[in-house]
Amino acid sequence: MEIPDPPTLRLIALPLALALSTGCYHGTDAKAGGPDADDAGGPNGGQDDGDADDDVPEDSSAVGLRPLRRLSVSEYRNTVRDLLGVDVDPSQFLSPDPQGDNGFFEPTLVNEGVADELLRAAEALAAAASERLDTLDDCDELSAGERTCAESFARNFGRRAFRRPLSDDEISELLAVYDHAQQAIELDHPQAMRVVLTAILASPKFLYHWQLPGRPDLDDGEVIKLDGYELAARLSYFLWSTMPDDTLLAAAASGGLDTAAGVSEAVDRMLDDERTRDTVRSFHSQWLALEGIDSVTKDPTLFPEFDPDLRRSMREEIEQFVEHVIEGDARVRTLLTDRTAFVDGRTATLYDLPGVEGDLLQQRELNAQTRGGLLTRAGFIAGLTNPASTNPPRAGHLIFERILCRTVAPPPPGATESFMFDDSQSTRWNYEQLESSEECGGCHRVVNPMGFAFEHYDAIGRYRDTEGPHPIDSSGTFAAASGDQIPFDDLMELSAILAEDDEALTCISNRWWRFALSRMEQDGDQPSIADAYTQFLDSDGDIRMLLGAIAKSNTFRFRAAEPGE
Amino acid sequence: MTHFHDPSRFSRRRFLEGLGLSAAFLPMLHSEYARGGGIGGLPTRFAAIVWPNGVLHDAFWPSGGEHDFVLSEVLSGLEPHRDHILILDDLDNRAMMDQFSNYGGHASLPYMLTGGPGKYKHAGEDLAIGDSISLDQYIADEYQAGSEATPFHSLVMGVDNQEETKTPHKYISFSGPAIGDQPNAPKVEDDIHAVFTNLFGGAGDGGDGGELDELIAKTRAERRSILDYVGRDLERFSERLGTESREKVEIHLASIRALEQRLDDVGGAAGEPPDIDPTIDPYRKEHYDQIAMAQLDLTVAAFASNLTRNASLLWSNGHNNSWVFSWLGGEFAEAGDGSFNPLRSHHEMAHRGGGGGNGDDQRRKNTVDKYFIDKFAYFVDKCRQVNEGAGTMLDNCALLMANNMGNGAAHSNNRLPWVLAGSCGGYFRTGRYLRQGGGRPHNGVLVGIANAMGTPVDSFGVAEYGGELPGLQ
Repeated sequence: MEIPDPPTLRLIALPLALALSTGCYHGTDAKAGGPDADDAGGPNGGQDDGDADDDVPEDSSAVGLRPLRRLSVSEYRNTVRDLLGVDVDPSQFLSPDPQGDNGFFEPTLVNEGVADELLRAAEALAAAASERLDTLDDCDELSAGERTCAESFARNFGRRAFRRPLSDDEISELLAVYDHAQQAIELDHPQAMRVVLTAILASPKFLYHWQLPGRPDLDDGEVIKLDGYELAARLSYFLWSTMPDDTLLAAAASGGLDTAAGVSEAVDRMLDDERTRDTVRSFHSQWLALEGIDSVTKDPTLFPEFDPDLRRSMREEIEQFVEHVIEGDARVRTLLTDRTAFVDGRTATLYDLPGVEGDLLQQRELNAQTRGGLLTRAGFIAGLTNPASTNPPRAGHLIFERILCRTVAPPPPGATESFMFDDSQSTRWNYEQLESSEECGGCHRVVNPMGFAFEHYDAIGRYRDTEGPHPIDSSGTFAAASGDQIPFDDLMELSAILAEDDEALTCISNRWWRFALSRMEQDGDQPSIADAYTQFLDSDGDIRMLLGAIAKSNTFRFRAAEPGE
Repeated sequence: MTHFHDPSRFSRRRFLEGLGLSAAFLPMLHSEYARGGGIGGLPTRFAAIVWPNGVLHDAFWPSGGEHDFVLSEVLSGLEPHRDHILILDDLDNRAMMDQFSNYGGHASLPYMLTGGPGKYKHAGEDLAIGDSISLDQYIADEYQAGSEATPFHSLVMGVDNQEETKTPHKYISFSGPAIGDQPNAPKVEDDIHAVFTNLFGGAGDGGDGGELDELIAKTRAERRSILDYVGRDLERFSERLGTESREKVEIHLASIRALEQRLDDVGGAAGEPPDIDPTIDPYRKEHYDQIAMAQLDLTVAAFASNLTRNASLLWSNGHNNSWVFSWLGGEFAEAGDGSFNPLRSHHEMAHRGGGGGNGDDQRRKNTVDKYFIDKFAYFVDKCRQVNEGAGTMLDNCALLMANNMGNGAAHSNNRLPWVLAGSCGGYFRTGRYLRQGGGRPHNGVLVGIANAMGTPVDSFGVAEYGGELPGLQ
């Protein structure tokens, strides 16, 4: 493998230059580190640095902010699964999270309606969990006494729920809730414990990714090192999408997360744990808009087989594949070119694979002539098409925006009204007409070719050689940021090109960072981003290496003081 | 006066049994009318309905003059109410056009009831989020702070708002300026059954002293204790945070205080609940029509019972790819016809009908706009059926039917199709087609409604767009 050079200014500058020439791009949406990295005080993270970066970075611009954020719905769901082990799905109570600036879920402010939802969820969960209190904290009321058990519960369960030990005052406050429930409301011990549990689940200490206060009189932007428990939770919610386990909490307690070496050890253990699957699923689902398959509709006269079962099978096939890659060699190249598939009878039929029937997923190899990599999966393609036909600009736009991090101007006002489709011609022919339009051509000349690469697949992602009487032409040219024009014959070839493309690797790195930080990248993050990117490239595009580098970085272990803090 | 029905005919037990303990989240029900600016001291109310994707101007606007106007086919459902409406022509969403001229018309929701300015946000595309209080929330805040307080601050409802994931396309109502990159917007409630339960689900505690009452009393006491604990936690939590994080926690705290207030505020008689079909699924496209009707019925009932005096109904996200009008007949049905661009989404229909399309495309677009106007006519009619003082409830209402665009196919924000119904206590001179000529900022209508509601302002939103639109009175 020839390792590409680390990113330089040219990666940033070229798309902008191109923008001026086409009148389409806004520019690139991702930095790999690039220009800011060089003058921001030298990154020194990384796994082999020993304790070189254990001190607070002197340059306060070298880490980013960490604004207060609530648990997302999926984090909440995973957390109560691990914390309570009850069979209640809290997402039935909670409004779904909208998409934030960074392209990933961003919980809303807690307005009155949301506060109501959170309270109802806490009540339902506590009611279910109070049936099995003994599994949450082992305390025998008969020998120890009820109130002692209430105190034990506040201390031990509270530590897991709040992801840190409670102060004596905090334990007293929970006991006050318990006493009030027993004495004033006249509830028995189990019912009073249910009220305490509800209070814990409704508390901001449970609901937020909290942080400890900085020192008094902090200057804006001053750098603060995360305490062991803060870091344990941050690592856990990034790598596992859920609360820290006992091992992580123990590491936090013993100071094991206070050094770079300790963090590195913890992160390596976490990456080997199958809880990373929730993070891998969540990231890819949001990054590539895979949830599209859940809501698209297809013309039932043309695609009678496209029923809810097939949707589920398609979605599952992609998710299993992504997990398989990340748990395997984790290379971007593998993600974009590998032919391993987990198919049941429905998806096997779609992929034309013989000998698979029923609901059980089986591992198979897809046909090398027709499939290779994530982008060629039916569940991805079917989420990007129209009910009855393909939609090349939409597919091309997604590649453009999500895999290359280039931004595209929206269609001009009135765009669709001037586009009349000629049914006697191929889909490709119709969209090619737009390329010569003065108004539309600027963008369609850029977006269409990558979309045409998808033309060998119909609206539900089945392979095809013809569209009606028209033979399929899925060839095109990829305009690399370097200025190279790289020809491809089909989607497999385009995928292989993207897998080796600097801009795509920069983009994938950028999207993982936005996901990990739960916000847009900031100047202070740039040294950490540049350092992680170097490790990503040095490891031949190893996504697990990238995740580890992010988790071990300075901007993850430290934060800048928020204005007004 | 509206007649209150005997609250006992309405079974609390039904809700407790049907929805579990949490249905005992008891709303408070006031029997006393607050004083208001309406006729004879009756309360005034404001409701805004937003429907999307513009209209075909040639087919929408009336012909004729200010008083002798002839309604178009699209507007014809309002003919029985022509003396009670004010058709507002020549309005532009200047606040949006001047701030971000490159934005498409779909991005206009945050400007509609705030009057701008919006706050820039990049969410895959360049968009703005609301950055100031909206008219409905402003009026409600004013009422709640004074002697006009109602049991519920306001109703904020939407049809399948959960489907939209981008915040710039999700909200028309705002509580105040954005916090960081997040709009400070009340939850848009999609679930009509939740709204129903909140408004009418409990009948206070004037009960039989039996087991059920005890259960309710204990549940309430538990909640008070939990909210008190959470509130104190939040107070301490906020002390040590930076400015933006602290603002987030303060909003959370205010919400907890509001829930506490709702617990404290129990008693009195229930209003008359509307009939809501329990089988309506708030998230099923085929039920959108029934959901919209239910929201109108709930609003009328809440207004008539003085449970609240402000409502906003967002009948689509900013794009409306979601509505499919299958109930309007086969050609609108979800099943594609096998051709490109099946005429199934409102968005697509607006584009095809608005230009370049054939007669059928235009007819379908107008059919859908007429459908929405007919809903509004139903709303107006329901308000007229409630006797109030010497007239009807409509006389004390300002009901606004507002589209977010002019020509939807062109994404334009000029010549917004807006219709106002009700004189709002005799403030508006209705029965007219108001043509002012040349793009007036829509802020002038917002100012007029604020004034009519007895919460006067000199301007609303961006101040430079001036005061009340001349000619409303």
